[in-house]
Amino acid sequence: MDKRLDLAGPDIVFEEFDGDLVVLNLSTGRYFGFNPSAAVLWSALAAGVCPADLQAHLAPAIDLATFIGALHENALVVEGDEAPTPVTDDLRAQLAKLTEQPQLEIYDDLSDLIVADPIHDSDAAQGWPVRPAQG
Amino acid sequence: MPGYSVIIPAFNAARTLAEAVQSACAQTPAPVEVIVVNDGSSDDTASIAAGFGGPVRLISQTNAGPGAATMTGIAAARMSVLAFLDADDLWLPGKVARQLEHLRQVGSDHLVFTQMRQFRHGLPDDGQGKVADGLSRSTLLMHRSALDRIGPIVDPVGRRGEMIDWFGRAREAGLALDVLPQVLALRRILPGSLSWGRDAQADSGYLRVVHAAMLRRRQKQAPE
Repeated sequence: MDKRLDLAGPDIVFEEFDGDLVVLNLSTGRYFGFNPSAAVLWSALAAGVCPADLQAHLAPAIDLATFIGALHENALVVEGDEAPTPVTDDLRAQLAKLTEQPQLEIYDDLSDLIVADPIHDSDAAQGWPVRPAQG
Repeated sequence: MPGYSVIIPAFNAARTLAEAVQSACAQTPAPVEVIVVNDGSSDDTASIAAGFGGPVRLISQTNAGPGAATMTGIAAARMSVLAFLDADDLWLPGKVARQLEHLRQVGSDHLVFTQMRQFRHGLPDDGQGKVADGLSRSTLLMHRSALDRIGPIVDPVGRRGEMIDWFGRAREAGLALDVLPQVLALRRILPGSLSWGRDAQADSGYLRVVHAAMLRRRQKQAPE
């Protein structure tokens, strides 16, 4: 809990639309809706704050561990090596106000369509598509 | 066999368009028309399309995106059965015949796809490329009436993911997506095509598509 979390790779992308956070795993095609509590925690984690520091500023009833577990289970984050970012005053105030349990909605209704999309056929770093080993 | 229209949206596709058009014209039964929608290309796309003559029609528009170009082609198409092909991909012999037969059996509330195999631009297809379900525009064949149930194809910001959005909406409207278990089309991999590589703006297009789907799901679940 004292290590910061990194996104589990370039296939994890996210954006807020009118305050509504959506996270997409392009490699599995699953996407995730975050309730407002979860969105605050995700933003803090994405900024490099470690879970232990978040926990210290949350109401005891907020179940951070289950939320972090869900992020790992869905292959959205991995433990990183860099030093965690400190909690800002602004974030501290946001964390203190959270009363709702953080929740993830998981959707896979578009997963086959997203996985079939040509984006998966290339590797930009290589400059050529990754081809599976024959045999 | 009913006649059908082929729609090829094309943006700066001079390198690949001729092969794509030829692969469509070579089908049996032959298409009644092949509509190339030149989406504001700055290369020779238009002159290559115009040079074919016969069933190949050229429509040019200012650049509006692949979804908009597809809709332009649909609006111009005369037949009730529509088949689509991206300007960098290819059909294999027998593709349309099998799809028409399937569509005849299952009816117009099915979108009919095939499997696709990858090949690299500039190298001959060696038959060894990755095979995947071609849930994409390049293998889609459908009855025009399906569009009335789904609504138009809309380009998201970033101009990627428009077909994911549209196929998702098709399912929500109760249409079936059938993938024939044969490789009947080839997907060309080439640097510089719209689908090649990754960038933040394109990812944003995908995110908008899934966010819109999420809002529709939440609305459906919410008590009225």
